[in-house]
Amino acid sequence: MAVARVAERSLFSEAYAQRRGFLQTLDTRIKLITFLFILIIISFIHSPRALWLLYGLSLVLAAVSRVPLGFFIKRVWLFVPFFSAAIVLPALLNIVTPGDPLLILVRLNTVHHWGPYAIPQEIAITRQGLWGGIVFVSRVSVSVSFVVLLTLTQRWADIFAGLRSLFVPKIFVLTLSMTYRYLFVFLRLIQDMYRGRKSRTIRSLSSAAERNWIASRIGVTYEKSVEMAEDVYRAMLSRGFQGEFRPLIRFRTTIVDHIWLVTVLCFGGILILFERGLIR
Amino acid sequence: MTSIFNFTDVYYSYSGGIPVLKGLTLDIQPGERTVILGANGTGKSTLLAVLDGLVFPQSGAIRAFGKTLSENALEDRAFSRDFRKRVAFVFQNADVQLFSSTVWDEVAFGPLQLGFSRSRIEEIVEQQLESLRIQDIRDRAPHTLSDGQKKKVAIASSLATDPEVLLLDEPTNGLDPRTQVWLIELLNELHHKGKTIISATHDLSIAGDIAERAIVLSEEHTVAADGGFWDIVNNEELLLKVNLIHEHAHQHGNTAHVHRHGHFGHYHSNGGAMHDDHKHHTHGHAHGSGHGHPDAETLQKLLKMLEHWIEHGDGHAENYRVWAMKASGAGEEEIAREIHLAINDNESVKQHIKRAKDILAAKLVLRK
Repeated sequence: MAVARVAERSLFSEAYAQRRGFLQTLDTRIKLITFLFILIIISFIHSPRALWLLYGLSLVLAAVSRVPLGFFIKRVWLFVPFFSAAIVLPALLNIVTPGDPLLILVRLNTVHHWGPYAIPQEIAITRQGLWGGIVFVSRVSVSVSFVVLLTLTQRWADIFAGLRSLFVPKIFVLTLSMTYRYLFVFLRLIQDMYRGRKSRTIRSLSSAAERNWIASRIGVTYEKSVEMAEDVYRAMLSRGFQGEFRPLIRFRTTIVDHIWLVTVLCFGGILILFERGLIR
Repeated sequence: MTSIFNFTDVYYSYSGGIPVLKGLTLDIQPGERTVILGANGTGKSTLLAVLDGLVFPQSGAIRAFGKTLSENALEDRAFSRDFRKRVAFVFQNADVQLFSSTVWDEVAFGPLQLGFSRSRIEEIVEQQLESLRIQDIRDRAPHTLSDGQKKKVAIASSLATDPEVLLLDEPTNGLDPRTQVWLIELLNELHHKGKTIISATHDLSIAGDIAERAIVLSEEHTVAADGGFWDIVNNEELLLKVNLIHEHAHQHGNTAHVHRHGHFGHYHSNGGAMHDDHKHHTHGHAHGSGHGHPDAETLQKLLKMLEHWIEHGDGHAENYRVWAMKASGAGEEEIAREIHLAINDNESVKQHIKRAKDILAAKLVLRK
């Protein structure tokens, strides 16, 4: 239930998107283009200083968009460990990233060989591994910050409409938006099933019985989703859908959008030139 | 006049061979308000889906607007476009129908798919949002709406193509009383604009407000009755047979009662109740408020008065005409004029009295 609540809050809350802040006033298409550009820039940058400069920019943008900083930072750092920890932790060690040892963790009696792989006698965190880890975590956290900022300050409906106007295939966007739409319905269904079970549970069940119940509910949810898909398709047919989705784009840009677009493109370009050592 | 729909011996079954509609022969005329009545599982929703060209019968013939309605016919884009524009369907589960990202997009979906121009679509959507008073939720996502709001959006999106026929599946299901009344008024307004309205429901309490004609589906999936709504609900045996009302026995101390229940108005219909000494009496009670005792004698008297009015209304009108002339002779022109206006409207008054009498007669049958 807690997982369902977190999912519901993360995916369906539009409270910040409705606030009057800087990012909320931008045209969705311009915002999508500029944020995509920033994400590409992030993937080219190797300097943690430049990455943290961008992270600072995301905090400034959150503040001027009336997103509470505490909430924003927590939201980002809730995701970052999931994305990066599993990859980064082994990479810190000299088993994966050979280099100058900084901290020796374990001393073995001898070097172990497994085929082409070898485990050194001293397992240590290396300087090169730590540096790589810092760059990786910085990159993930800055990327996640911008993605979270985008989804917090823009309604999903507008994001889908924006994607449609940016030449993303119509059927892909339709499928994505309907998936998002019906996730909510099924989230409610799952919550109701859990509540129904909880109201009739007197003592805790064995883990085997729990697994059986979860498997059966997955089956029920699948069956209901198939039924609903058929009904939704009929509802679409009933209103004239003939296999080809026709969208309507309703966006208008302002001078602020153009200034923002030029600023981001220039800033990104300068950052890349700085990163490549072409300017100092 | 060409029928809107014409069914001849229509048979539909699920893939497992379980029949849902058996030998249906029907005719729906333009501008009719029809309700399809039947217990759960009798095929009401399937019949609406067949009427909307969403499922197709295994045998029998269907004509819509004078042309054959079939899967092949709907393959033709021009026919399909014309049919979809003329017939709209409000689904029972609004979540099924509201698949777009926002209310605005939802209302625009139909006209967009039918190739309306951009300016026309914007005009239609604004008009629909305004007429259903849902402008304030235009940018909301459907999942954030209440059930009543969802129903309003579903109706707005169905009406966006200005259809001639509106099909509604259990229209008041899950709605609060205020939204139910709003919906009934809206359907009446649409009827006055000449729309053909076909609703499926098992709720007798609203059926009389949204239809003049009733088609009753039996639990054997056939048409059990087809006629005037009030004539049909006067037929107690039919309602019992098709499971729209049922008998229910319960105890009051030492007294055993047998009631006839139906979702009709605010009453449990109340059949001959039995004391343990087998003496019969009648006994009515209101939903959810324990046992009240509406004055059956008063209602019977009212029924007699209404019948008397219908029988002698013209004679009374003639008497009033004489007295209006006398009033005029006495110099009371204003009073005479008002009486004349009332007499001139006698036909309309008679219609209202007749409807009141039919409704009361039906309710007294159910409360016996």
